[in-house]
Amino acid sequence: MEPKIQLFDFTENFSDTTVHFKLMVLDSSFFVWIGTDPKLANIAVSMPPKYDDLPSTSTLLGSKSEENSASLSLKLAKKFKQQVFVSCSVPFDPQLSLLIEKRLMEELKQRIGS
Amino acid sequence: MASGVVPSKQAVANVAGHHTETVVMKFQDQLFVVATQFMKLGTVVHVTRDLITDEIQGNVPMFSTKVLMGKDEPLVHVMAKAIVTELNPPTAIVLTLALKVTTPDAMKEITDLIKTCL
Repeated sequence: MEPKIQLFDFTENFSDTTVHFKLMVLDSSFFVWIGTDPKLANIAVSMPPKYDDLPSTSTLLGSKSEENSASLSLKLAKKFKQQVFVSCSVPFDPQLSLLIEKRLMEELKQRIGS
Repeated sequence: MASGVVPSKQAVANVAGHHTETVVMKFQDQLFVVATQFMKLGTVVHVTRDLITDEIQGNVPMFSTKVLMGKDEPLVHVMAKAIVTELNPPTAIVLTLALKVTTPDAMKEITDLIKTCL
């Protein structure tokens, strides 16, 4: 039997930080893990908007004050119109966040039909 | 597929006539386990290991379950505990369940399927 769930792993070096990515593509939803350490510190989930423009988000695991995962899941849910699970634990750096987002978008555009 | 800093493995089987898939991601501090017949994550349960210093119970592992997302009903806790007790991992587990059949026999098959991913 062929698996329907697809898993993708990739690693990227941004200046001096090595960031690892994990992507799990499910039926009309996906899970993304981004981290510098192999730890699952937090999980945020976002649902795509149905009526208005703003998706809703919730932090499932980890500190509620951790905004990184939540904001990224919001953006992805809005863009791909799917349920998105995000776990992001990288040191806070606006520049780095931007690069990560860019790299992730490239990958998602390839892997997810939208 | 077991590459990268966080190894992950998946398995497929036919359980009670339904296409069933399991995925395990081995994080350093946590295990992320997916068991699904809908190809979605569904209910997300966090299972943590309790420390027991009980002379009578000895080394019997105990687990606490907390539903992070989805239906918080007794059956979910029972299923999560049944699966995790069988796996007996050293770390906490984030377990996601989206199952069509929840009979004891199906649970056993699904648990065995998860075991092949460990």
